[in-house]
Amino acid sequence: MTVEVVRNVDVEPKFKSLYIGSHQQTYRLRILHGSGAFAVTVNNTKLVDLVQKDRDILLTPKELGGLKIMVEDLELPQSQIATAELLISDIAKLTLWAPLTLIEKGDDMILTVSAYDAFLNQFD
Amino acid sequence: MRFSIETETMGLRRTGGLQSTQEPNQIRNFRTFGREPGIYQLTAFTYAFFNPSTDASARAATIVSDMLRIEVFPILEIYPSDLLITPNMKYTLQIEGGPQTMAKSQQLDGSHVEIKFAIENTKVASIDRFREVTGYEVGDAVLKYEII
Repeated sequence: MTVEVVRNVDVEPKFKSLYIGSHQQTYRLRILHGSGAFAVTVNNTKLVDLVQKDRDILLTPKELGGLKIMVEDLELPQSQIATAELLISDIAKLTLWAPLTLIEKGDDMILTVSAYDAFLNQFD
Repeated sequence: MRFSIETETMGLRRTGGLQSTQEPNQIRNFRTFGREPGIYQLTAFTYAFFNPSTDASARAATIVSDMLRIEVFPILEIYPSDLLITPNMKYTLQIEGGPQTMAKSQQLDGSHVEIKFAIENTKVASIDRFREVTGYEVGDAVLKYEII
């Protein structure tokens, strides 16, 4: 008989902010550790389309809102359920950044636009 | 996400003097090129998401960044381009171009823009912070300047 001890199931990242406008893009959460047999559920199925493939959770945003994703290890019933939080948000704030405010005629520089969600977390 | 940058000069839309174009495959980065001297006000904007099937009568709201002010200054030129002086003679160099609004020539990090002059062979001549060149002994010296 062999005894295998594995770490409790986990999911990464724990928090992710998704832009509602990226409804044609899919975001991936990764399931770590555990037995390898998992059940993935969400507390609001209206907000995302969810597909589980082995250790990947593929999410496509549909509606604005926050939801919780729960990963249960089916072969380790006494293990803790791993959770991740997802915020599907529109752009709440934009910033424009320049490295300089003075440039010589003929020179150039890179300007950077950053977008933030409703909780002012920067979108990737 | 799609972003755009709008440029204004004195309340007028004008993109020719400071032209911003999106970098290939980098939606967040824009290369801005100073074509004509002037003070430009830039804002980034995008449109809020809306679902046409559920918000048929709605229009996408515009989300605008805070304004960024950028000055494009004329190319710095020093006159005369060659200077001939005798020992103990002093000459103040003339400047054309460079940052025009010196009182506001402050960068985002709080530093100021200055024109730095230097003469390597200080036995022949020197230059002070008022751009005054003083000759000491017969010889040649190279004056270098840069905007810092």
